[in-house]
Amino acid sequence: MTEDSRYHEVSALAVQRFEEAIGWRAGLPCATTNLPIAFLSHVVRAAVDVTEDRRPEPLMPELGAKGVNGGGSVHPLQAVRIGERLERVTEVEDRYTKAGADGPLDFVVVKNSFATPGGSVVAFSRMWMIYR
Amino acid sequence: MGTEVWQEAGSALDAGGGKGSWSLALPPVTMTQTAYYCAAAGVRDPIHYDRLFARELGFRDAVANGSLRLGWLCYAGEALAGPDRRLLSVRCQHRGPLYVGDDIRLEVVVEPSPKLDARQRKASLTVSSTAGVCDVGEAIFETGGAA
Repeated sequence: MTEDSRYHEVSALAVQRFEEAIGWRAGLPCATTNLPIAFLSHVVRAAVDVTEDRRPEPLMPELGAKGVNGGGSVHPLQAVRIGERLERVTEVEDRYTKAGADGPLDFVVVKNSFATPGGSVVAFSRMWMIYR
Repeated sequence: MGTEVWQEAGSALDAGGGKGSWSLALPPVTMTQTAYYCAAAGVRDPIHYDRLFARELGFRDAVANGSLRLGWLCYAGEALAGPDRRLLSVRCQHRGPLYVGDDIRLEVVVEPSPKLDARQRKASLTVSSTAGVCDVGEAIFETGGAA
């Protein structure tokens, strides 16, 4: 399917802001590694690209505007360090329909892969968008 | 708070053979937190930081972001991994909305998973509020030394 590619700088400020928003949660200790937190800031940005108008533009412009975030997954493969520049590739990995209580539900699986300039994939994520 | 939970559950992951469960009460999500998160992540959907807007759409209150909730489970996964295990993946399925002000409980269950490789372990993660289960997820680890 169609792919969308963008570049992200893993800046110290972006990581810090994300850490503060996520990490001030009492009861959860500080991260022992910057790995998921660092790239999660990019995962989130990628998710925003998908959900801001509730459709994975420009990949699936035909979908309506009633999508909701059904969940996601995160797969760290190697350490991501401050200052690294990553290329994110977004693709619609799968699409299927399930019966819901109020009618059919369209499920769209959006995959984001993050790679170094050398082409080494450091992480990927999946997001399940649900459309009525 | 909760440090012993991560240590005990982490030890259970290393042991691999038995089943154990832990429960952790977490403070409610605050309006400041969702607003701060939206600013950090560049989220502009007011359903997360405008209570009146959310209520006009039929929600009980402002809704905690799905990606924020995934982030918390990633954080829990990191806490469970500690220095001795490698976090391979975190998955989160949203079962229902989590509202600002709701009390939250995180359940961690460690049990054998025959589908995984010999060095891999799984922890099930469930987030509940007073209204019921909000998120169901799991974290997969590799034991025997962190990467």
